Parts: sequence; structure tokens; C-alpha cells
Amino acid sequence: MVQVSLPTGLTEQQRRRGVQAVVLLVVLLSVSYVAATVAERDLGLLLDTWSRVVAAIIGAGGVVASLASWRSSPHSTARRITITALGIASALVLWYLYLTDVLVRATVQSVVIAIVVSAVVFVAANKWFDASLKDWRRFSALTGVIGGAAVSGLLVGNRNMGLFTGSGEALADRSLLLVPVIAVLCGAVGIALTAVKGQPGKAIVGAAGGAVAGLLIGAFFRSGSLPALEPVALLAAPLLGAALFAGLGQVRGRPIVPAAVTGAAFGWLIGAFGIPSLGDGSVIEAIIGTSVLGALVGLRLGLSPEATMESRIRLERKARAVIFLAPALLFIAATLVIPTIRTMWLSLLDRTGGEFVGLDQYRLAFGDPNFYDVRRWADIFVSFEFLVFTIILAVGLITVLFTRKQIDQFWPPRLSIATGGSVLLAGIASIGWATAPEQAATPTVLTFLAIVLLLGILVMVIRYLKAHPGNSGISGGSGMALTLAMIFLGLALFTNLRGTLFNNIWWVFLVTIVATGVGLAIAALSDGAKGESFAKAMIFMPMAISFVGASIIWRFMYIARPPTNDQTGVLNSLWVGLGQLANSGAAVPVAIGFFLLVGGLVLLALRGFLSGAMGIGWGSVFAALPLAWIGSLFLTGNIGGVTEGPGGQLIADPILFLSGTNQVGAYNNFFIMVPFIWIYTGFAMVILSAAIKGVPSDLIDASNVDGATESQKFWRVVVPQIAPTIGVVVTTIIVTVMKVFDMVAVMTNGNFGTEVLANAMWKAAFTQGNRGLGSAIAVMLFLLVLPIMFVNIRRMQKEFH
Amino acid sequence: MRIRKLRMIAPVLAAGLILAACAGDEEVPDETPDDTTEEPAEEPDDDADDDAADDMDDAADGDLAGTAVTVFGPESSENEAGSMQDMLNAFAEANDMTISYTGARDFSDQIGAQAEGGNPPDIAIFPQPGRVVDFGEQGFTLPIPQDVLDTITPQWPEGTNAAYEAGGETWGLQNKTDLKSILWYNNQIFADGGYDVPDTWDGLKDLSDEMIADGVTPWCVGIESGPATGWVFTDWMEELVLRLEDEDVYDQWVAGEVEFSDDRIVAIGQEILDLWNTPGAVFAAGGSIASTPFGDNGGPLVNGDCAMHRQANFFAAFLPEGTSVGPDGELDVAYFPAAGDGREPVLTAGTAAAAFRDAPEVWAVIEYLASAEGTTERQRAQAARVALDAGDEDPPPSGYMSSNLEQDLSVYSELEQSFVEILQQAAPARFDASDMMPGAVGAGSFWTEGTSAVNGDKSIEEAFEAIDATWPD
Repeated sequence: MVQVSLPTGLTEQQRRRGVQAVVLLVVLLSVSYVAATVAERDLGLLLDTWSRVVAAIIGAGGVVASLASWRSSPHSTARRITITALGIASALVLWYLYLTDVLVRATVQSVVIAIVVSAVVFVAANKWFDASLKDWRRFSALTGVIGGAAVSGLLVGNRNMGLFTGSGEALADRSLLLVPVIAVLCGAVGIALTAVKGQPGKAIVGAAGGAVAGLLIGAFFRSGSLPALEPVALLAAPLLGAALFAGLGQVRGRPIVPAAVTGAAFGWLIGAFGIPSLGDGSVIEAIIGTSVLGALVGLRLGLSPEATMESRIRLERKARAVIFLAPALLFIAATLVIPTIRTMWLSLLDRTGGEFVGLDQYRLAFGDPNFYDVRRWADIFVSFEFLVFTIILAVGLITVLFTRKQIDQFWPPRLSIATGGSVLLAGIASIGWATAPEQAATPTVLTFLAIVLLLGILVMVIRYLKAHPGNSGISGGSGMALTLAMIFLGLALFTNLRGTLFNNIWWVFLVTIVATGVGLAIAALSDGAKGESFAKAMIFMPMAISFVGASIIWRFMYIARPPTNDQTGVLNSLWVGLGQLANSGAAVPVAIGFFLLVGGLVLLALRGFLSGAMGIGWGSVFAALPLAWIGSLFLTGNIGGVTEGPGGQLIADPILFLSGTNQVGAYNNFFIMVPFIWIYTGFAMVILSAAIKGVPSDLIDASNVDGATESQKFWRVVVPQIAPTIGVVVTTIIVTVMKVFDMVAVMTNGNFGTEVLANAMWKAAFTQGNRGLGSAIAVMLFLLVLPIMFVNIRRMQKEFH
Repeated sequence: MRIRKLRMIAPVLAAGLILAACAGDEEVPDETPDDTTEEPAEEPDDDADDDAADDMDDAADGDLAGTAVTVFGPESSENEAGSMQDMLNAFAEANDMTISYTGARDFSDQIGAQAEGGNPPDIAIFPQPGRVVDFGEQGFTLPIPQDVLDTITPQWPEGTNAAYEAGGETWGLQNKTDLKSILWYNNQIFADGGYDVPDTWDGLKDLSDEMIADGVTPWCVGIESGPATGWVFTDWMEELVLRLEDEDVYDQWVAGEVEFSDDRIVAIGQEILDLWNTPGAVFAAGGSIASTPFGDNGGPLVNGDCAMHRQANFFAAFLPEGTSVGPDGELDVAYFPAAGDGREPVLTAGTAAAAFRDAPEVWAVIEYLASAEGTTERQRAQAARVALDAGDEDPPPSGYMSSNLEQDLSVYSELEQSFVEILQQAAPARFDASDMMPGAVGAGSFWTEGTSAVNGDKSIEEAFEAIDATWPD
């Protein structure tokens, strides 16, 4: 409840101070006003009275507020003096700026107006509902006046209604006269409604009053808003509305007749002003439209039961809540709900937002092969990435067979079949890959075989894992291999399923997994390590860089120059430099260095195997293999960015990171994702690190007592504890990534197969001028984000309860 | 003025009504038609004519004093935007008003957002006739008043503003004309190699091969241009359709009657890709043609990284400072060779001003932008800026040009005068095709699919079929 009453029970001293303050304020206001006027003359400014008044308020108000803070401040005298002096100084600076700078003046005036209007509306709204308790008739009259003023004011403001005298701009000004007239009329109807008691009379008065008010409104409709009434719609819509609301009323246990009247009013509004085209009708039609609507609304008000004290208290309570919530609700409606609904509606219209075209814009989007391209799906199974996947899968499964621990739960048939199958799959895929011309053929039999085998293996592995939760045999090297295999399977899909929609999906998958995974790894590994806070600060730093800035930085890093020029991009100068190194005398020593590393890893692997630390053993093997491969590439000179020219000379061969073609072009996407990952890894790390530090230490101690290894502690104690946080990080990144726009716009603008939904939406709506298509893509993006938001909100609710 | 159907307000209002109904028993329903569907200007036609007629006469008397006009356009380089502002300042000072010009490289994107957001400039300078008409027909911009048309139309070659007409109204006035069919070449390389500028397209291809054989890279090509990446390729397409086919095919192609997948159009696309994809034919400063900004070709051409470049007269604005152009300069220019069948077609482009606000000062500025005084002033300002950059050297073409018939030709250099004469008399002359095609093609798939084809992501047939698929019905 808001108490708007005069403060009573003041002491004599307080009263005297109050009087002093008011006198001081008045004096300062006058001084400030005079000073503003003098300043106007001497500075050659052009001020109006309003500006001088505001200037006086700023100057005087600032000084009085500063002095008041002096009295109430709890600090020492010196600090009080300083604070007050600073306050007065800044008030005077603002006062001066206000007078001399047009922009400051405009801003301050807007702020003052906004604050005053908000305060007046707030107080008035509370006073309005104070009346509902104190004096029902006054409340009714006030409601009528406010409602009439609001409706007519909006109509006049929107130029739907006006006086048809005069010409040009004067028209709009004089039309405002309509507002008080209609407001008073509606107020009279409000009084009439409280004056009449008893049901038929009240309903009749309401309907008649509403009809008169409507008639007046309709009579002043402007030509551009006159509805060309369509009889069918005019009849059908109110009937439909009445039926719908009556049904709802029945369900909610409310009186049916008033509900039906409300529904009929809605229906009439839509039938008379929503469906017909505006601007083609006559004044008579407008009057019919508004007066019947007015009559229905009046009838509904007349039908409502006599206001008892109880209902008035209920109304008053409800109103207070609404008054407090209204600003926030209005803000949300204006910035979120209405644009969303409008976008959905626009997506059903043609390119200029004129004609209704149904789902044509969605068909247009999906009909574009650049949007949704699965024509190369068969190539998945003959791609290089798939070949690598099958080989690693086979290796991983064989590893699983050898690293199981409990022989009694050994279940050889299925797992062995799976392993054998994946070896077979690797064979088939490699044959297919080796024989397919330029990796682009569609060998149907091989593809079919590969799919069947792949599904079979997946099913068997899953069943095996389900049957042996504690003894999956997946740890260390085999886990690494299976993970690696999955990554390559992803890459195989990634390079062959193309188009805007798939690009977005790849963004979500890759960025989310990599950023969260790396962030988690850093958070876990750095926990308690030396220099932890410094390292984390450095990794978090990119978060401070804008997406656009990061995109420009990385574009410079990726840039390629013609072979005849020096490479100016960091990555390409490294790459070309590597090629020159591999083709120079230094290649052999470098290769030897690599082989030494490999030798070290082999020793480490042996030690691991011998000591029973299978993870270390297999990990070393998997690290050694690529290093050995790279070392051998140095020997043959086949590494780095150079090619041989016709004369045998070396020519630089830079990588076109962002504009690679065909299959390689799929990686253009990936190179745009890198800066995004670069930024969001820091985000994931900070949040997950905080969560890890929040894991209760007694849990860790207990697992220590149980003799858990480090990896067991991490996977079975820490990760389950921080799972909700991981969920938050993942969903946050997914939603952010789904909407990615700036990176793509800056780095490639969607060319070279890197288009994403947000950029496509922008292009469609603003470059090509097809608002419908742009809206349709926006709606799709919204629908894709929705389930993730839903999951997120549900989880938040669960945590609160 | 057409008032659109307001069907969509129904659900919104219904939601509003429900809220109102929940709030209390005595709320009066809000039956206001939603302002989102309101047209920004309801009665511009009649008033516009009268006001402008009165005030255009007053312009000289200083009745525009104290008014302010904002102009927004795509020209954003220091020389272009600067001389635009210089030119507008001349008019503003004479009339004691203020005119401010803002230029943005992504004008095409921004103007749509500004108009949609209800925050447009007073005047926008559009580089594409299709969009001028679009904005007019959607009710964002206002038709040019008859008296302004009466003043301006006789000053330009016949049919200049035809591209901006639709529905019996003219929605924009051309204020700048670009001559696209220009071959820029490096004098030193041509002198050293003893090459001659060829007269025919076949001759040009032979010259290209000859240069490759001599170890000279003949072409600089780059088609990257931010959101508009690909337009350089569309220019090449247009030049060659106009040359290897003829004006009729060109017009039918613009109108969508000759499809992109038509054998003749595909063959021309292939012709271009064959020329560019010949090993050693193209120097691409950004690593590949599709990732080289079109403006980055000036430096390599002057340095001798390549011998030739095809670009419009405004390419001068992208040359390194101090570059001299002419028979004795570092670069020289020639007419881009035709088929050799006697026709010498010319491809043009240009910008046109359209008004978003109905006020006498706005129409005065629109008229000034297209008038002989305005274009003369603009060229004077731009030539002065370029001359300042060039120092003691011969200045290159200013980058600005107009085909206004009454302008003072003495502000143009001899070279530019020859360009202007080509423009004023050109027959056949055609406006840039992509700028006249529907937005989904001309500012959409023609750019993106063209880029895919140039980058080798798609064959020219695949790319052009994809363009046909996006042509609105």
C-alpha cells in the first residue's frame, strides 16, 4: 500500500529546518533562474523559459542536495566538507554544461520529463485506485475519463482520428481537442453506471452510453482509417468470439453472459477493424464499427455485478500489484513479446510485408540448396576423415579387448564381433577411399555395407558398455582412441553435410564441445597449480575483446598473399616457412629431433605397459604415432606451404584459411570458429574453475581414503559434483553460438560455404530487401534456441525449489 | 497512397484487450489500430508539389536559412565523401543552411535498417536503381516533384532517369554517372613488352596469353567487397553480355526473360573463368580472387605485379597517392575492347538521390545534387583533392563523373572529358544489370553464387542454375 499523506508529528526543530530548506531552495531557484537569464544574454544563447526553469532546478536542486548531504552525512567534518563541495561543484558544472551545450540540454530535458511523467503517472495511478476504496462514483468517473482519454489520445496520435478543418500540420494540433471531449463523455457514462441500480437498467445505460461514445469516435475517423466492412467477417467474428469466451467462462465457472459479451466485443473489434482493409470505407461504416463496439463494451460493464466493499478491496489490491508491475511488463512487451509476434507474422508475408503468402518464405529458405545441402551424404563414407575414423575405431576396440580387467565378466562374442566388424569397416572404407575418383564418387554397395556395419558396431558397443558399467575397459589409451574416432566421424559428417543450417549445427557442436572441454581441462589441471591465477587471467583475457575485434585480429592472422609476395599473415608465414625449412638442409636435423621425441615416447610407453599404467602406455603410443609421421614428412619435404614450380624452383603455397574450396571448404567454418573458441574457453574456464573449487574437500578426502586415482577422483567425484555448472556453461555457449553473426559477417560474410542463420537473416532482410524471408529465418533461429532456453529455465527452477 | 491491410493488429490487440480485461472490471478496450502498420508519410503528394514549387524559387532569396538537411550515401573514401561535403557546403553557405553528408561502405545494409527503424536520413544516395524504386513503392521515399523534374530532365541525356521510374512516378534523380568499361593498364609493362592495347575481346585474350608466356602476370582481379562481395564478377559478366551478345539479350537478361542457365550466358561466364583460371593469369593480392578486396588492386597494378585491370572510372580513388594517369604516367586507360563487330557498347552505373522527408530544403538539395551547378561543383572539389594528393605529378582521374549535359566541362581533365563525351553520346549504353535485377538476385545470389563459381566451389552451370532458382516469380 502506498501512503500518500502529509507527514505529521514533526518536532518544532524539524519544522523550522523544513521551512529553512524551502526558503533556501526558493532563493537558490531565483538566483539560478536570474543567473541563467544573465548567462543567456552574455553568452549569446537562445533559451526558452522551460530551459531556464530546468536550469534553475538543476543548479538549486544540486546545491540543496549537496547541503542536505552535509547535514545527514555520518563522516568526519573534513570528509563532509569535501563531499559537499564536490556535490556543489558538479551541480554547477552540470548547470553550466546544460546552458551552453545543446546536446546536454536535450538529454537533461528528456530525463527530467521522463522522471516527472513517470512519477506523475505512478502517483496518479495510486490515487486513482485510492478512489476505488473511498468513493466508488468518483472512481467510476475517473476510470471513464482515463479510458476515454487513452483511447482517443492513441487514435488521434496515430492519425486515425482527427478534425477535418484547416490544413497541413495545424490539423493534428487541433485534433487534440477531441481528447477532452471524449474523456468527459466517457466519464459521464462512468457516473451514469453507478447512478443506476438494478440489472436491466444498468445494462441499458451502459450500452447506450458506450454507443454514444463510440459514435462520437467513429464520426471523427480519418479517411485513411475508415474500414470497408465485410458483412461475413462482421457477423462471424463476434459470434466466434462470444462462443469462445462463453466456453472459457463455463470452464472457469464464471457467469456465461458477461463472458460472451466480452468475447463478442473482441470479435467485433477484429471483424470490424482487423479483417477489412482500412482506408476504403465510409464514415458510416466507421460509426457502425465504433458504436457497436462501444455498446458491447458498455453492456459488458453494465452487466458486471454491483460493486461491494469486498470486490472493491479485491480490485484495489489487484490494481496495486499491476501498477508496480506495469512498467516492467510494458517494457518486456514492447521489447520482446511484440517484436517476436510481429516477426512471426512478417515471416508469413511477402518481401515487402504486403501480401499474405503462408509458408512460402519457409519453402523458399529450404528450397535454397545453400541452406540445407545433403546431396553429398554418400561421400561421407568415402571421405578421408571416415577412413581415419574407422582405423582409429578398430584400434580403439582392439585396445578395449586387451585392457579389460575382470576376465569373469568377459563377453567376447559381441565385442569381438564389433572389433572385427570395425576392422572390416576400415578395410571397406579404405578400399572405397582409394578407388573413388577424387573422393567424389557414390559407390552405393560400399556405402550401404559401411552404414550397416557402422550401426551394428555402435549398437554392440553400447550394449557392451551397458552390460558392464564398471568394467568398460575404456580408460587411458582406448578412451583416447574412441574419442579421437568420434572426432573424425564428426569431421567426416562435417565436410559433407553443408549449408547454412548444418553450419549452425556444426558451430553449436564444435564450439560448445571444444570450448567447454578445454575450459574444463584448464580449470581442472590448473587447480592449485603454481601461477594459476596468472594463467587464468591470461586465458580469460580474450573475453574482454569484442567479437568484431577478435574477428579482425584473426583475419589478419589467416590472411594469404600471392606466392610472389611475402606472407603477411602469421599462420601462413609459419606454414610457408615450415615448407622452406623442410626443403632446406635443416630438414634432416629437424626430423632427427622428431624421431628422438618419438624414441622418448616409446620408452615411456614401455615403462607404462611394464608397470601396469596402461593409460600412460597407450597415451604415449598415440602421441608418438603422429610425431613419427610428421618427422617422416620432413625427410620427404612434403610438409609446409611450398610447391615445386615448372622449373623445379620452390613456390610458396599458402593456405586459404577462409576461402578454401570444395571439401576443404568445410574447414573455412572451423577457422571462423577458432576465435570464438579462443574467447569462450576463458568463459568456461572461469565458471568451471569456481565450481571445482566449490567441491567439498571431505568428498575428495573420502575418495583419497578409498585409494582413488587422480583420474577416478576427477571423473567420479569432481565431475558429478560440478555437472549442473557444466550444464549452465554448455547451454549458455550453445545459445550464444546459435546466434553467431559478427564473426561470420566480418571474416567471410557468409561466402565460401560459411553462411550461418543470423547472417543469412540479415542479408535476406536488409541487403536483398526480403523482409518475409529474413523473418522466416529469424523464426527458425528462435525455434532452435527455444528448447535449450526451456531446458535452462527448467533447471534453474529446479535449483530454486 | 495505398493503405495496407491491418490484419496483423488483431492478435496484438486481442492480447492487449486480455491484459486490459484482467487488470480490472472497468477498463475500456483499446481499439487503436497498431501504429506499426502506419505509413510514414500519409499525404506527401499534393503538399510536396506545392511547397517545393514555392520554395525552389525562394532558394536563391535565402528562404532556406536556418534549415538543416542530412544526406547519407555509399561514397565513404576521403576524396569522395570529402568532395561531396565540399559541394554541399557550397550550396549550404549560399543559402545560409547546413547540409551534412555521411558515407558508409555498407550503405546498402544500413539504409534498409534505418528506413525500417523510422530513422532515415533526409536524402539517401542510392547506387542501385532497383532499390530506389523499391523504397519508393514501399512508401519510404517520396516521388520527385514535377517542377524539379522539369528543371533537371533536360539537363541529362535522354532516358537517364528512366531506371528510377515506376508507377508513373520518378523516385530518384541521378547525380553521378560512372563509366565502367575502362581498361586500366601499366604503361611501363606495355612499353617494355612492346604490347599494344587490343581493339577486340579476342585480341585481349591473345594479349593475356602472350603476357603469360613472357612471364608477365596480365591481370589484377579481386572481387571481395564486404557484404557486396562478387559485384566485380557481375560487372565482367555485364560487359561481356553487352559485347559478345547484344543490347537486346542484355535487356532480356535484366528482365529475367533470358535465364542465367541460358547457354549464351553460361558460355560468357565460362569465358571469364577460363581467362582468370589460366595459370599465371591473375595476381590476387589476397591469395585468391574471391578473397582479394576490389580496392586492393591499385597498388599491385602500379607496382607492376600485373599489367591490366578492368574497373570503372572511380577506381582512381583506390590508386596509391600520387599515381599519375595518362600517356606519360604510370598508368593509362583505354576503352575496354568490344567484340569487334562495329558496336562499341558502354556499361554505366551511377547514384541517384531520393528523399525521405517532404520539405522545401530537401527538394532544393535534391535538385542541386543533380543540377549542372552541383555536378560541376562536385567535380571541381574532387579534382582539387586528387590534385593535392598527386603533388607535382599528373593527377589521375578524380573518380567522379556525371553526364549532365550543361555542366562546365572545363573542370574535367582532357582524359575525363573524353570519358564524359563517351557517356553523353554513348549508344548503346546500359545501366549495370545487377543493380536493376530484383534484390534477391542483383544484391543476392548473383553476388554469392558468382563468388562460389569464381572460388571454384561450384561450376559455372551449377552456380547459374542456383541463381535462376532464386529469381522471384
